Amino acid sequence: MATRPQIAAEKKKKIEITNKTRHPYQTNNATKLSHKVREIEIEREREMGSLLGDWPSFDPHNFSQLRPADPTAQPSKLTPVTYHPTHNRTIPPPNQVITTESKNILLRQFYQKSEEQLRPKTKRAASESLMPEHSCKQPRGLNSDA
Amino acid sequence: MFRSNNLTARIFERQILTPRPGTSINLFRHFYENVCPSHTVHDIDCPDLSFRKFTDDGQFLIGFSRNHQDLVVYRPSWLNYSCKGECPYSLDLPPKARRFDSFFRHLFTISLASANEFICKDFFLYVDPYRFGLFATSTAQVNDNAASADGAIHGVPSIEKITFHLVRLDDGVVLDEKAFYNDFVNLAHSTGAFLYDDLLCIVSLRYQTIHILQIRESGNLVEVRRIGPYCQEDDELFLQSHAQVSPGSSFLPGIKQRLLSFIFRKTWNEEADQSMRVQHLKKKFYFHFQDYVDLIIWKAQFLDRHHLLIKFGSVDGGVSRNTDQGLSFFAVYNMETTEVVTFYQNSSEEMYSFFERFYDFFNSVSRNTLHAQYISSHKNNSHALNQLLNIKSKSGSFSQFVKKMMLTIPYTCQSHSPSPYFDLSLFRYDDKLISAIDRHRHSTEHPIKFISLRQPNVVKFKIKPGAEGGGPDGGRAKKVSSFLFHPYLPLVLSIQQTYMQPTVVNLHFKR
Repeated sequence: MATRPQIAAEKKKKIEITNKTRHPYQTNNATKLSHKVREIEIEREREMGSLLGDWPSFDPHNFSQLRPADPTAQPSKLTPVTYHPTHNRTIPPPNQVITTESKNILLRQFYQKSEEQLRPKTKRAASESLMPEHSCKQPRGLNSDA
Repeated sequence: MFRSNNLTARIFERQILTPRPGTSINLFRHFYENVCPSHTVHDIDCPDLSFRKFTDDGQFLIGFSRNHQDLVVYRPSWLNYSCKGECPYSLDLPPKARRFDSFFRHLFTISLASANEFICKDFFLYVDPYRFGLFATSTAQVNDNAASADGAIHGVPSIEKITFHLVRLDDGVVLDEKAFYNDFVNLAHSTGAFLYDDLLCIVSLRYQTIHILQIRESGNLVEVRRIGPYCQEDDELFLQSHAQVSPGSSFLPGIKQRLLSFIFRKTWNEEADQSMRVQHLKKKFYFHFQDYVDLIIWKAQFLDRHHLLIKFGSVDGGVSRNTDQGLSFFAVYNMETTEVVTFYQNSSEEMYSFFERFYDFFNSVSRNTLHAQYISSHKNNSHALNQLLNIKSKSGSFSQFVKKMMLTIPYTCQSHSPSPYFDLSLFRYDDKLISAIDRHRHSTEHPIKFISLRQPNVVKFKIKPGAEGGGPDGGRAKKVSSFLFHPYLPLVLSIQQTYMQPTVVNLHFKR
C-alpha cells in the first residue's frame, strides 16, 4: 500500500513523463491513479488525430510519435533514380514489336535445313564461311563499363 | 521439391511452399506418390463388353459390345458408402464395392453399326474441347488387288464402306458421319487418322489422298482440303479446263510432283561443279526416278495447323504392320504454300537428331490440352533420355538403331495414356509389361510393380492382372492383358483375356 506523498510524487512524475519521449514498451504501473492519467493522455492523443484513429491498442502511447502524414506530400509522385545509358548499342529498333514465333522449333529447323539444301553450293563456299556469322554484333567500345 | 514423403507433411508444406515459376503442376503431381491404387477387386462383375479406354479428360469410359455394333459409354465415379458408428480403417469394404456400377455410371448405349458393318474397336479419337468422340465402322475387307479405273493403286485392299461417326459423348447423339466408299484407311490403333485441335487428317491409302476435315463446334465434319492428286483447291478445275488429256494419263499426282521437284532441286544443288551436275543428277535422281514415283503415302500427322509430316514407303509395306525396317521416307509438307519443305530417308542422321532433340514436337497437340503436355518422353525426362542413350550405345549398327527409332514417327495420336502413374519422373516400372501406350501385352503371373523414383526400395503399388488364385487352369494358357488407367483418379481396369475362356476384369483403386 503506497503512502499519499508517494502517490502524489508518482502523479507528478507521470505528467512529466508524458511530455518527454516514451519508450513504446514502457509499461505503466497498475495503479488507479495511473489509469486516470492514462485516460487523460488518450484523450489528448485523440484530439491530435492519432494515425491509428480509434483502433484499440495495447498501449496508446505506442504510436504517439508518429505524426499523421502531411496530406500534400504524395510519396507516389517521387521520381525514382533514373539511369542514363552511356552508349546506344542496346537501343531496340524504333518499330520493334515482340511476338511469339508461330512456327515451333522443329519446323524452324526443318525450314533451315531445307534452305541449306536448296541453296546452290558454289565453289566460293569456302570464302563464304569466312564471313562472320553474327554480323549484327558490334565490337565493344573503349568506354564500356566493366 | 517436397522435403518429406509423408502425405500430411506434404499437405502442410503445400500451404507455404511457392514452387518455382511454371512448375506448380509438376510439383503437385508428386502427390500421386502418396495416392496409389492399392486395393484390387478381382474379377469384378461387369457387363460383357470390350472396354476401349478412358477419355483423356477422365470424363468417360468407352466400351463396345461384343458383337461390335453398339457403343456403350460410362461415367467414372467413385464408391461411396457409410457405416454405422465408428468406421475403422481396417473394416472390409461392403459388398457394394464388388459391383461395377458403384464405380461407373452407365450413360447410354447407342448402335453405330448397321447389319453388315462392325465398329472398329481399335479406333477412337477424343475431341477434347467439345467432348465429342470419333468412331469408325467398316464393312468387311476385300483383298482386291486389281486397280480400278478411278485412280486406286495396286496392292491395297479395299473396304466397301468406312464410316466415321462423330458422337457427342454427353448424351450419345450422333452428330455427323463421313463415309468413304471402296477405300482403305488404316484403322488399327487409330493410325490412319490424326487429330490436332479441331483438324482431322485421314489418310486414304487406296486413293493416296489425305483428307483434311474440320470438326466444328456444332458437330459438323467439314472437308477443308484434299491433298493427293491435286494440291490446291482449284487445280482440278484448272487442269480439266486447260489440259487436253484424258484422266489417268501421264500427269503424276500433285503431291508426287511437288515431291519430285523438291528432290530434283536438292540433287541439283548438291553438286557445286556446274559441269558435273548433270552426271550427278543422273546418278542420284534419274536412276531412282521410278522408285520415287512408286512411293506411296503410308501415314501422316500434323506438325501444326499448316504443316504435315508424311511418311512415304513402298506399296507392300503400307498396309501390313510388319516391323520390317525397309526403306521409307519422311516429307514435311506445307498445306498453305503446297511446298515440300524437307525430305529425308528413314536412316538419315539429321532426321534422327531432330527426333532426339525435338521429340515432343512430334507429339503435337495445341497448347490448350493440358494433360497431354505431361506425357513422359525422352525429351522431357532425363530418365527416359538415359534409357534411350543406353539403347543407342548398346545397339550394334547405328543406322539400324535409327531406323528402329524412326518407326515411331509419325506419331499416333492419343496413343499414350496421360496417367501420372506412367510419369517417369515419379515412378519406375517395367516397360515390357506395362506402358503408357495402350496395346495388349502378354500377361505374367507376377504382379507388375511400380517403384517410386525417389525411394528406390519402396514399391508403391502393384498391379496383378490375373485372377486371385492364379486362374482355374493354373496359368498355363496364354493370356493377353490390357490396362486402362484413369487419367487422374487412382483407378485402373486390368482386362485379361484368355483363349476360350471368359474375360476377367479387375479393378484397382485406392481404398
